[in-house]
Amino acid sequence: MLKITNLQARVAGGKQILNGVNLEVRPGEVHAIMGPNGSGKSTLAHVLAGREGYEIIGGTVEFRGQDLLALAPEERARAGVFLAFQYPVEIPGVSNMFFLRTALNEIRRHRGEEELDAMDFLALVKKKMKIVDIDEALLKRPVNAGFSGGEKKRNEIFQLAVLEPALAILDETDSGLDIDALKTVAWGVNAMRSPERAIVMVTHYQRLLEYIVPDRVHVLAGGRILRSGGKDLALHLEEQGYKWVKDETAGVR
Amino acid sequence: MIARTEALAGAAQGAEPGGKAFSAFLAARRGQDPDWLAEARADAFARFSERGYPSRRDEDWKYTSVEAIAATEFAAAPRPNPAALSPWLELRGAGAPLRVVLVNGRFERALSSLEALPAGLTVSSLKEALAADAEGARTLLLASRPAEDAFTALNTAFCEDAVLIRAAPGAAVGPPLEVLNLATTARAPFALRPRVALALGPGARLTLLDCHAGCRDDDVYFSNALLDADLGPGALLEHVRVEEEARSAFHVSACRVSAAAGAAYESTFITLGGRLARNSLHVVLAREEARCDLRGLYCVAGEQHADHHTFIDHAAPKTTSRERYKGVLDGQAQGVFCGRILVRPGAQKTSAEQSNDNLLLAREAAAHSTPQLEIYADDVQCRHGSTVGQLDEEMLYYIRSRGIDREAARGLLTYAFGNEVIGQIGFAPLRERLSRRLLEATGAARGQKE
Ligand SMILES: Nc1ncnc2c1ncn2[C@@H]1O[C@H](COP(=O)(O)OP(=O)(O)OP(=O)(O)O)[C@@H](O)[C@H]1O
Ligand SMILES: [Mg+2]
Repeated sequence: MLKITNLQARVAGGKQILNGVNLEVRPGEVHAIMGPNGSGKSTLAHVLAGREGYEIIGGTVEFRGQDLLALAPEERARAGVFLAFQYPVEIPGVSNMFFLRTALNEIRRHRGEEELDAMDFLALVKKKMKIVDIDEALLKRPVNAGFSGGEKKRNEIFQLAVLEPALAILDETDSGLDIDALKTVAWGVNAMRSPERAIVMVTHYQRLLEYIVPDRVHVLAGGRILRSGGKDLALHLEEQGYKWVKDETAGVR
Repeated sequence: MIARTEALAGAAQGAEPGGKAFSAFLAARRGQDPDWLAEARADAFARFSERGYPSRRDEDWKYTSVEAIAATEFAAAPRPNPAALSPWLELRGAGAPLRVVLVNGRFERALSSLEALPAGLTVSSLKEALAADAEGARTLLLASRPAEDAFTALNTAFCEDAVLIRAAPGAAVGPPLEVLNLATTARAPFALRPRVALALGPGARLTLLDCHAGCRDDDVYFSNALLDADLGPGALLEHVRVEEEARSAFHVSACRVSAAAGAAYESTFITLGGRLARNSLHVVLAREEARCDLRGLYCVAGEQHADHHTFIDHAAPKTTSRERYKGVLDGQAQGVFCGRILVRPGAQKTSAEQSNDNLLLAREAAAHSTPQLEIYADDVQCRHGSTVGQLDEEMLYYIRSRGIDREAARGLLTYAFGNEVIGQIGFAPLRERLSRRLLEATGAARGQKE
């Protein structure tokens, strides 16, 4: 589904952050990406979602047979890519419901599906609300405006549930969640698992992986994937920290 | 379709109304105007003739040129057949059950709905007011007002009619009163001079929906509107003013409000139409604890020019003002906001807050924002801020990452910016109509199939 080959990117006119990332994700798989602060995890996520301000200086990204990097952010979303932001953006004045209905109908239109009217949309929302246990009051408020950290994360997963992408990239969705919220969100993500859908989770905590068991775990450091393994790799990291990474990257340079 | 009825009445006024035009006008008014009114007109006309139209050398007109008005010959306003106008009333009105309709500045009782006037509220035309209580009409119309300028003088000199509104002491008028000013289509440019004089007795409350609209976008006319409001002690006036003039029209208006002790003036100015729109709003907080809350949205594009000059005069202690204007400027449109706040000596414990935020949607659009604070008291809280900016890139990216294209994302954010002001309008039918209009204008309506 997703094939990243030797991806190198830098901040436009600035520092290079991704130094040759290789990653392949197949439908139905769940991958976890871990790694020290500042190692390039969010940058990778944003490069995949199409944020402006990065320059691709090498490599390719293929998504369901398409050149993902050639698409505008909205085209990537319509093609089935969804990024749950590490820092969801507040949009005062636009209600969550209005926003999500516009988004869903854009995506549906491009898939050649019928747009949902207000009634059908409401029915869908009611169903999806249960999955992430989100408060109805939040849906009527402007997108993320004044939401608590945890509410913002939950809202991202709610959007994920409504938009039903083929590839979901979750950037630290677990950070800032209390224990109960973490369980609910994990439950929501698990409910989204399907043989057609792939999930890439960026996380710092092994705990999340107890709830959402990944097929593969990768360590991203210094802008490249330094090590990959099964779920045990996460346990190993929990014990060892990233000191070995520093040693290894130092050796490389 | 609407029939074009163009019975042109009266003498044409010159490019700059001259003495001859004025004499002809006075002669035509003979028998209708009492002496004091004819004199007031003559005084006003003399004041206008002395100074003429303002030029950009005047500090108050630095960013707004009225040359195009001065260069155009405006005929007297036509008198179309009222029956043909009802479709426009529905399109351009606020939808209030209680409504005064002025067509080209003239009170049209047949088009108005005033049968069920709530107790304590009286609404009359100039003619009716002169017949019923000439002295009362005189006081209401000609109470001494600050802020006389060329345009208020022109209105006094040439207005053909007026709406006089009174709320009795303590009258809490529930339903809003709409005053719809409609300008019609004519062969040649014409001038209309709508005028409203309003007095709220002590403790009275009223919501006024003050709509100014044209019919077709290529209609060329000049609306020289004036509204004077006297708020008695503890009175509350909610003033919603919607300017949807034809895109080729000129609109120069003044609103002069005076608030007695504990009175409150709350306004929402929505400016969408006109080739040139200039709104002056002058509020005198004359006695202790008077307050005002002014909101505004100007949303213009193409070659439009929208100018808001506000002047809040804190003339007494413990007076409060809050002011928030927003502008959305697309194409080559120009937005002007000038917010003057005067705190007079002795007006202690005054608080004033002002903001003006502008959104520029195109490179050639421009916003001029000028706060003018003159503070002559020391125990005062005063804050002001103004911004001119583009849409937030982070927000655009977030919206696009959900499948909404750049154009629609821009529309959504623009709608949100402007709708914040519209959302404050209490009367739902008008609020929803304006919201819908903004939604369509910004392109944010896509994806919202009913
Ligand atoms: N637009 C930018 N301008 C300048 N520096 C940037 C930009 N984007 C990312 N960086 C830098 O690139 C590095 C990688 O950042 P990134 O956010 O990808 O890290 P991360 O792995 O997600 O870290 P964390 O675990 O703290 O979320 C950091 O040093 C960051 O400061
Ligand atoms: Mg990050």
